[in-house]
Amino acid sequence: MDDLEAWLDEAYPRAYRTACLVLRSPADAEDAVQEAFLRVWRFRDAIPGGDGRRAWLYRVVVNACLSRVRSEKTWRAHTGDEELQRIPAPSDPQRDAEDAALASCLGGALARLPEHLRVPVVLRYYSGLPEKDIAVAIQRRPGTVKSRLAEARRRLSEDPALAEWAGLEVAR
Amino acid sequence: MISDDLLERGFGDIAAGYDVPPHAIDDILDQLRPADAAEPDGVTVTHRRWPTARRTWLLSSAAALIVLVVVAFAVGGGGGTSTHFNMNSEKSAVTNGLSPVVGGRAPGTADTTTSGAVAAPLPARAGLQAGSAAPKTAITSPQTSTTSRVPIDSLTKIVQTGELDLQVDKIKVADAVSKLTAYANGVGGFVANSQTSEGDGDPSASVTLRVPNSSFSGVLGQARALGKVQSEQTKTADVTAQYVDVQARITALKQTKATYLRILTSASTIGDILSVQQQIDDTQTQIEQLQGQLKVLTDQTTYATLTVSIDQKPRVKPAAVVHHQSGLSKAVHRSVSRFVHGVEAIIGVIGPIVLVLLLIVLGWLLTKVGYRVVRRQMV
Repeated sequence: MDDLEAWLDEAYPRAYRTACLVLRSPADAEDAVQEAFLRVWRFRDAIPGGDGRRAWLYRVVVNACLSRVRSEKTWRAHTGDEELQRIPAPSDPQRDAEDAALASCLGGALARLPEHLRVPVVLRYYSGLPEKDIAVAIQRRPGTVKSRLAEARRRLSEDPALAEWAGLEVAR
Repeated sequence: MISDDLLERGFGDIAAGYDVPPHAIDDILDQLRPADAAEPDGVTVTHRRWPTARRTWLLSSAAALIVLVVVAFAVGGGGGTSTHFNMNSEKSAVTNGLSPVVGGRAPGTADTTTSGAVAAPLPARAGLQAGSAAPKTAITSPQTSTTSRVPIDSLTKIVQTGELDLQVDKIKVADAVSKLTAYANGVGGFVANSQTSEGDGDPSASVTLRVPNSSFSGVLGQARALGKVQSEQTKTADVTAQYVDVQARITALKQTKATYLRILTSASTIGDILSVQQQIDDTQTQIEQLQGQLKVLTDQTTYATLTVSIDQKPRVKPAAVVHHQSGLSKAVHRSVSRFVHGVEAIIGVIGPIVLVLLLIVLGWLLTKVGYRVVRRQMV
């Protein structure tokens, strides 16, 4: 169990936050990541060692998240724009105001991305996975990952809120 | 284009806003501990795996059992039994009032058919049909495409978006992109973005189409027909309230600005003038921001957005053709093969022998030369 605890301490926070970014709901993310860790631990004999273990973990986490998204698709489809803004803005008073503004704008833009673009972009820029590991995690080809990341970057760049923030930054 | 560094920084900031639940890791450990606690001391979970020999035995037994069942079905006429079973199950479904076939569809799709053929009595949709400014709503139904049934009039502002993940087989990815472009152009739309990747013989593309709202479902259907749909999501949002709200706020702010301008004309001191001017500037900034939002809303409600991701179905390599050989041909091939193996074996044996002979000859020559040299010196 020591190995399990060490692994959880190391991997849980980033996996949890990744799920939060994908699902936009801390409660759902907690459930999904718990389910994923339990599944991975129970089938740990089949998991490749080394770096492959991380890609495998994220594959299970992403699957758990997407199964929740799909089961709640109808509910989510009825959400309006105000629901999409539910990503909590950083509330740490120590945080620099610029970072808070960026996080707020990027959070809104991320929420407007569809799942199939949101997942790879979160895995790439938050979880830090290389494209080949993202391909493993989302069970797509590396070429598909590359095109989705490019599409996600384009959409984020063209998002009105983020573009406005970038304009203000340039003005400063 | 937004930079990678900015994205990493931004995502890091957002993620930092999510505090890891303090009890989460303990919850997982609690769920795993009972299973491990039941194990005797010093025994790990891995011992549950069957030993290799036993596993092999079990697999063999399972395979034999399957073969036995298949043979039993083949000999005993299992097909008749199966048909009988199906008939029974179908009959029970009818008895329960669940018709197995509704309009030629399976029972599981009956609800879908109903919702697609008859407008569901959703209050929000009723509001839309009445042309009233209903609160924000969205209808998603990839199977039924109810989005096309939403009446769009001059008062109602609808944003339609769709995501389609296709896998093409009969045509190439580039051809699919061309067809999508043609579909969009054909209805007065355009391609907002198109990206194609051909790396490693693994072509994929992502195309974003902007088509008039009224043509959205038609183009979606055409896109679907290009390949196998892996996933699909459509979303319709009524932004009428937001649109009207933004318009009202712009009108109000313009009135406020006009009031400030009147005050400015009567301001006498420099302090008053600067103060009022600051208010005017702030108001103007707000008006421009809202006008920007209105422009975006107008664009979104005029043109629906359909993003199509296309992958090429992996080509299955044809299996190697097995030539059935006759017995004589097999014997000849076997003979040639054995002959070649024999030659290889002889060469393999001769090599060391030749080497040993060479060493013996070399040693004899050296000894002879050495003997002659020594004898000359002695002489």
